[in-house]
Amino acid sequence: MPHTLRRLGFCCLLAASFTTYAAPEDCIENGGSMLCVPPEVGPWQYSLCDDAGAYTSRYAAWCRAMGGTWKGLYASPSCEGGTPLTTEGQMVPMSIEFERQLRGACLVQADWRGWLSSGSTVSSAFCWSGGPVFKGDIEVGNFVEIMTSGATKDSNGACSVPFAERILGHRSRKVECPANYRERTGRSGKLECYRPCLPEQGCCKGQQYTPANQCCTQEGVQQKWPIVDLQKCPNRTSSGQSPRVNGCGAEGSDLGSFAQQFGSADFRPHCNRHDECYDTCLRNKAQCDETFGSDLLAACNAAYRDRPVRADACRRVARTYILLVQSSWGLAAYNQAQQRVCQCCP
Amino acid sequence: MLSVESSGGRMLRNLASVALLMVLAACVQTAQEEPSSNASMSGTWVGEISGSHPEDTVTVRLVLKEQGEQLIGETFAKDPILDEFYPSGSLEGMRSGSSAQWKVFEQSVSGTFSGDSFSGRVTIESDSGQSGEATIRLQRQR
Repeated sequence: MPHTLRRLGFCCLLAASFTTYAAPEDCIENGGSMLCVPPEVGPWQYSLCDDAGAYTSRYAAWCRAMGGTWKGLYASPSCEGGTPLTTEGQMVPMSIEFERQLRGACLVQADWRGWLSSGSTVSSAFCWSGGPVFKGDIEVGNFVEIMTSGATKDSNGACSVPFAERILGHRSRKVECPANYRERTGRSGKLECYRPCLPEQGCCKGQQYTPANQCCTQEGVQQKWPIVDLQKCPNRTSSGQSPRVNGCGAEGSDLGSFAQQFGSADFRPHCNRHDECYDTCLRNKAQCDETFGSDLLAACNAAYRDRPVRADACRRVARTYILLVQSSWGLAAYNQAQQRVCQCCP
Repeated sequence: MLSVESSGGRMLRNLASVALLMVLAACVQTAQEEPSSNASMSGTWVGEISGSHPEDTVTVRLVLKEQGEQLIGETFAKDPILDEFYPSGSLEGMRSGSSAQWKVFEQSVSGTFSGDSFSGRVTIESDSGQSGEATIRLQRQR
């Protein structure tokens, strides 16, 4: 028997209810480590049920009340077409139409008794029994009594034969936590959805992050590339960026012009090699500088093998470069290069 | 009233004048013999360092500043091909009277200056085996 037909279960898509949400104490926004979100509240679904036995005539009456065509109890489906119950406001008109379809009532009225308040209950032999149902502080189910009454025509055609019956209305909705969240009832009785904030779940030190362009380090969430603070990215890896070389000097530097050579000692290839060294992720700065220094001095000595005065002048110019790369200016250039050629995490 | 001087008094006065002139002349001469003992080496000096090899020369520019007896400054060496000066290190040294000495990296200089001229010797000590001696002559730029 299509018993569900009697309990006309018509769902409607109403706007989901929103309640003001205050995050629990252990949530990220309150300094905790849990990721917390409010529960998702679905739309109300409404249904009606006449509090009487399972008569075919009643099935047929409900079918027609909703605008459907009754095909008989053994047809599949029994009721074709019709507009399902979608709003609370349709419950009384549909109950009145039910009575008209059932009895051919010439006079019908319906008394809406209102949704049950907390602690109240209804009892029914053929429909539902119980009272309002809550999940946490959110109502998820309730009942209403609709008392119909009126008259049908007597044998003389006069609208004089009274009738009265009770129709029960029911509403329900889903209240759930989003996927991967757990449910709990907080101290205030509110339903809470929470989950531990772990890196594999897109969480880092109490913060949400996007692994595609962020990293979780000991210092918390860091931008993956370009690196903002090298100190906070000790496990950095190559970003795949190509090394950039520009001879001797630095792009955008305000330190004036740099000699690319001194006489016949060519500094340029050594400066480029030094640029490449800085532009290689995780390359040791001190080693880059040491190689650069010995290369420049060797270039001077090779260029002026039997000219100690010129070799000395060349070496002194070279040494100003060596001092420069070892200074805070050199460190800034190294850091800037590493921020570009490295990414904070694999 | 008419005053009449004796010839002896006039002579004494002439002798005193001569003596005064002699003292003044002596003072001027002393000042000329030690022209730079109180002068400053502060300023820009340009000149040449020359080694034993005829092509082993470098034009240098020094920007010196005196702080008491201490000498500080910046040195520049001229690229022998491009003809441009490039920084070649900071200088630190001392001046005492007309003698001065300083050091820049591996290079030590000592010499004397007189007015706007300086001349001296350069010692280059290098681990690379390119050590040597050279001469330096500088002229202050006005």
